Amino acid sequence: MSDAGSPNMQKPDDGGQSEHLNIKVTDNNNEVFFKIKRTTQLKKLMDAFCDRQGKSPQSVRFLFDGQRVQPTDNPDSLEMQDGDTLEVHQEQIGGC
Amino acid sequence: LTAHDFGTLLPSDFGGAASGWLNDDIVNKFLSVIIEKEQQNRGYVKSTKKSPPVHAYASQWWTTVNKPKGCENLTKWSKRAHLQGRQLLHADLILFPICESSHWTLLAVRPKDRSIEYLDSLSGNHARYLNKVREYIGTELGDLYIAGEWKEITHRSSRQNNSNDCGVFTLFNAFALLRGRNPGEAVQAEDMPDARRQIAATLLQGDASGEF
Repeated sequence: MSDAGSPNMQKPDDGGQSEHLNIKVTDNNNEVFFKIKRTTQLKKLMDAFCDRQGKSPQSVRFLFDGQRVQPTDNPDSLEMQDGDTLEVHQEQIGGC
Repeated sequence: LTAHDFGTLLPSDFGGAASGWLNDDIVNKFLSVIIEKEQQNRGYVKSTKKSPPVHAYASQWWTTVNKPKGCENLTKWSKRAHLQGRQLLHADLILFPICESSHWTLLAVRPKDRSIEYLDSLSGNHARYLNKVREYIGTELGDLYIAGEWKEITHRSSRQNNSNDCGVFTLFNAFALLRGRNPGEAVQAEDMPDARRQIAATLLQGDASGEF
């Protein structure tokens, strides 16, 4: 499931399978799958997605089930489950 | 929030584009601050996981709901908010800010009253927004949704007198609804410069205890 974008891909599997989650990150055009630990800060995954898509972290917002994701959040703190999706949104701006 | 965000609210103080078009971070954060204050005032405790009396969805809901299976996807949001299915009917007021084509507007759903209001400081076409939120309510409620029960309210917002202030109207119209006031009477175009400063003060303080 995970691809070269996974922050932990090169690391040895030092825990049980249930410790890891597959998380999809998508901006509706691109989908990137990550396999991360429940306690891994989502900053890793957000930065990796931005790097890969050539986006500045300030220009996008990550949402999980309608909640804004902070870089310091992790799957445990957000009660994420295997297969969940992070939505990536562009800045919205309006005046007229 | 960053100086960039505040630059969309008070451009001359924070080096933003002169137009002063609000961005989503300002809109969503302000709504969450005033909603949280209202929840506190009503004695709602988040950790109880009960349905909140008032709630605001993030403005990205409109993007999400317009994707394939959008309404079903939005039920994941409502689950997190404890407003899924029939829980929706326990809420007094749910706010749905919309940013589309560089224009901010507000949908306000009052489940207990069975009313849906669309507030637009340019008095644009409202049918699409009302229809979409009805589709969403129908998805949540299933058989409990009886279309004829839900009345629609439009054209209560005052008009903006420039091409910049729709986001400020959106936030202050929301503020007026939360305080039980008629937005059209409480929020006027000439109030907008002060409103921008009040929004900034509220965001910096993280608390909406000030006077309306």
